[in-house]
Amino acid sequence: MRKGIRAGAAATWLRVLLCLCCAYPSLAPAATPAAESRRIAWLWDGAGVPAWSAGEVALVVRHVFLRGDKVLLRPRSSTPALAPQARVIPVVHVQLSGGDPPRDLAHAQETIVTAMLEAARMGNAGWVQLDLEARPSQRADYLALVREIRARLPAATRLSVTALAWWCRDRRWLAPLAADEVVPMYFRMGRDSARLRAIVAGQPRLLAARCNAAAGFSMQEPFAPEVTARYPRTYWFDDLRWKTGAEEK
Amino acid sequence: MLIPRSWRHASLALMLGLAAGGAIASGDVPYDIFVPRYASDVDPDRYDAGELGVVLPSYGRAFLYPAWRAIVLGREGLQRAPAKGLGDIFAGDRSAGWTDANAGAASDSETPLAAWLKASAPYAAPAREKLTEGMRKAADEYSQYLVCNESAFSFAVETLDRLAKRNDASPQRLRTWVEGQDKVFAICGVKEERAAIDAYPLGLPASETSFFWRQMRDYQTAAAAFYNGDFDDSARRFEAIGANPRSPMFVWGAYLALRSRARAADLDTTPATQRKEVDRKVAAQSALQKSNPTAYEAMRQAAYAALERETAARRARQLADLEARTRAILADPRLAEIHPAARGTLHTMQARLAPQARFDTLTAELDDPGADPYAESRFNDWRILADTFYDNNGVDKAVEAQARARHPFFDWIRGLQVCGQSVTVAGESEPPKENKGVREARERCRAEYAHALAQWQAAAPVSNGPDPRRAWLTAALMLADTLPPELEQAALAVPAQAPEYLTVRYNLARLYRLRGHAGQARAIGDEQLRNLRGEKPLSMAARNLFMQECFATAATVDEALGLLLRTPTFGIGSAALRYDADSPGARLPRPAGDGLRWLNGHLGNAELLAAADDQRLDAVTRAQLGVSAWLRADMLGQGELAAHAAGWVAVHVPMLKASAARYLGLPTLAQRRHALVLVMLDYQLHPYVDSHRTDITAKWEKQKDPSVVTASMWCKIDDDPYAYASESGVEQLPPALRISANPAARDHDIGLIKRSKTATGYVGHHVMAWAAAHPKDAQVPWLLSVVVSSTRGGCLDPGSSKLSRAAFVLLHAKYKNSEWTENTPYWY
Repeated sequence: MRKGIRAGAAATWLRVLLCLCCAYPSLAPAATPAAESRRIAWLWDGAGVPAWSAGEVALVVRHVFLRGDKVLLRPRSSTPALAPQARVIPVVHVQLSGGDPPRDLAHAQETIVTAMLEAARMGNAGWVQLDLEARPSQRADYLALVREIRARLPAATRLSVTALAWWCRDRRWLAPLAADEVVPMYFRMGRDSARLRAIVAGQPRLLAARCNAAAGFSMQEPFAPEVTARYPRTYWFDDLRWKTGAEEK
Repeated sequence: MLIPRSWRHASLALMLGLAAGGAIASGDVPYDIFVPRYASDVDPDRYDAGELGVVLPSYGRAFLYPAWRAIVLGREGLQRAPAKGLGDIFAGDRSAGWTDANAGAASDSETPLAAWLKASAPYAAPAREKLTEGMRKAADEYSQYLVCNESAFSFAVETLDRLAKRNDASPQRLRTWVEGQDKVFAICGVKEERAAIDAYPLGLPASETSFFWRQMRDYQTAAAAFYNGDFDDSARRFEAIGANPRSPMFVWGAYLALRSRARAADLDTTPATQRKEVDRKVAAQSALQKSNPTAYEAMRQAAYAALERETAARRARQLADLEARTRAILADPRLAEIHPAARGTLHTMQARLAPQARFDTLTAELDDPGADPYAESRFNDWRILADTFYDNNGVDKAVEAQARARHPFFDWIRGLQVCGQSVTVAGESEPPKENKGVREARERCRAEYAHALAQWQAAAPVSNGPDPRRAWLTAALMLADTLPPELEQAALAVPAQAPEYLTVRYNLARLYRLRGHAGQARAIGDEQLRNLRGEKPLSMAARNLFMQECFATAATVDEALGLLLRTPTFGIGSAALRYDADSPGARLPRPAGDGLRWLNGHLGNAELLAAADDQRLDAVTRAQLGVSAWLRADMLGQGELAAHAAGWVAVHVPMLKASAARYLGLPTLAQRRHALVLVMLDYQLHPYVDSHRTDITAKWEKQKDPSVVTASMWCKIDDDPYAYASESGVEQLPPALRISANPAARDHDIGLIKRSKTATGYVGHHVMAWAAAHPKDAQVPWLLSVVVSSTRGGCLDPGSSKLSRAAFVLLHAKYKNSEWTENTPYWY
């Protein structure tokens, strides 16, 4: 599979194509409309609960801030009024300092794993979510972290991880990722935004198959309904914390 | 120790560990580094004194209420009724509720826990048990609280210092006290309530006959019970201390008994348990729900109504107990020292147990601008309750309308917030993407403008005393997108010493610009920039806003370049709202979004190079301008200009000196282009200016590992200001500046550069051509491998797959023995 090929040989092309289809997930079948897309609001501290998400919410219960060698923790300070029997997916948000970024993630691994295990005990939906935007240089640490979390979570608890959108175009991130669900965040995509939006909207087959089961969207950067409807589970972020004017969808 | 140093400011925020700026500090919302959108960067004491800077409608209530008060009172009124407290509200928020996960570890040397370990070490047992800080679940199951706040450790250090100075402080007594305190603090790390009871520091042996030292131990035991969540026990023990006037901790006894009962009520899990039981019972009636929905609904409503009544009655009982305890404390003159703290605790619990009643009381108290809003944490508690009632759990429109009608300050704040939090001011040229929500928000905003205008017009002028008319004039200007003559005249009449002056002047400049009166806008901007100059102006945000307005009306390239650099600002006065505010480079001046949009999308290549020589600009921006000119000119085949730019880079960018000299030494354009492509890949150069700053020099770093190099340096080069900023989509910008000294050349250059390929496409096609012409070049296999791996993801042009395949095939066909061929098993 890793041997070189000669240009122009038909057999070679076949081998290349076979090689790609089996080895690179980006050419897997594109996402198709989900029978019923489940919409879940991400609730950060101080956020309200939009009515459409009353049955299930993703609640940020612990913040971890990595700044240089420091590992800082902050709990959720208040909980919005949740509907009876609301399904709660606890989320641990790990923030990396932009100005003084951590050298690696390894020094914070035990703290993050512990936070995830504690968060998992708070939930009642059978899921727990890790929200960590690792940098390319931290990929190995990140993958090891997710493996460790998965290994130490109860088998019945499913692990969801958010992902930067471009990870869906890079098998090095997704193939070894030991999560049960990958939630690519199709918002605040920076320099790649226009291109990635075009791919998400019109060429989803270019995205890894693991990115087809769930997706994260922002109220401030909406996609057409037929795009969001492709995903069985969608998570929604709102800059305005679900205040006035933000509940339209 | 249990007593926090900041007990005098006992408040809802302290009690609950809430963070006023938490959402901002945690980085969970975008942050405009040039103009903080949620908080003023003016020193809080100056803000309280009426130096408001430019007030924005997007500010939080913490800043809008003091602004309203200052504007209504005016400078003279503020002098008659000074109030200072905004700084205290945020003093507790500078760490925004974060704790160090490393606290107590061997490597910890900074936290209060570490300070305690160090101070007490001379008296501690050799094999001292490890201490940690833990969080426990609060009653609502999803939030948590820190068992022992950091001031407990600091207070213990102070107490130990005092004890060590006593004449009867023998080493043994100090060892015993430290051992007891360690047992108290050991409970701080226990995440579930109810540590083993034998972990308490219990009574001293009979050999200790000193009343003082026995009382100190009793206090430790009571504190241990408190941290252990055994509030009945701690209340009893503290009551005993408070019943004995001879106790050294007598003053604290009754108060800490009150705190015990308060925390018991705060962490009361009974209502949540009862709620779950009702949920379970209701859920069990699914058969009834199907057979008789009406009866089911009646049953459901009755069950929850009964639960509400029971919970309310329970909370009323708890509150009555706390009120009785507080009354007793306030009636005892010997306890005067802790009267403020007792009142604060009661107010906190009134807010927790009867929030609506407390909110109504506080709202009514804040109606009077002449009263001190910070007394007894009144405003801070109101602000936190307002978050609950108006932000966190949805808004009852009828209740809101009633509150607005009754309370002028609330009407003013709410009107601004409807606009500030929903949408940029209508009429600006950079509206958010259009959708139904945005349209409705804009309509609401316009309605609020009309309301503010009507309130201003309807209010009677006041010659002496609080003048609400001034607040409404300011609000109308903040929300306006046009400038009616009467509004303009009134705005121009606002005196320079008025608290609202800068806000009014900024909005006048903005509205003149929108009206197309650039000269008037510029005159105001220039005037205020003169007032706001210096290293530390009243408000860097205000200066940046005026610079933005001036920049938007600049008439020449030279003028615009002089207005390009803005200095980031990170928070409230000298405090930082963001953890990365103190990182290297964080506060270095740099172009903001409006400048980046102009530089990258509206200047020709020769102008970019000329701008690089502008000594008013910082070194990084100048270097980026020179490099951008070099790359763009070479990409467009402008050989002479590219050579000039390379010469400039060779002189001004030390890191690239050798590369630029090598470029200039090559004889043909093709060779030069190839050399530049290699430099681009080596240093990951891009043909645009950005706002990232980590150092005062433009220090491009050479890629050390060629196997990780990709051609991903740029996507599309255009005038999207957010493509180059450090945090996208946050800044609110006026219309794009389009001036150029040579518009025809600019349009030519920009037209071509906008049509150019992404870095992957540009480098890829160059490499394919180069490989065809120079098949024996030793770097070709590596370059082909770079092209293939670059097409794996990120920004790609149409047909990138074809490029990927072509590079792959060429690599495998012609260079099969190369290590780069082996390392490139797939195309994409």
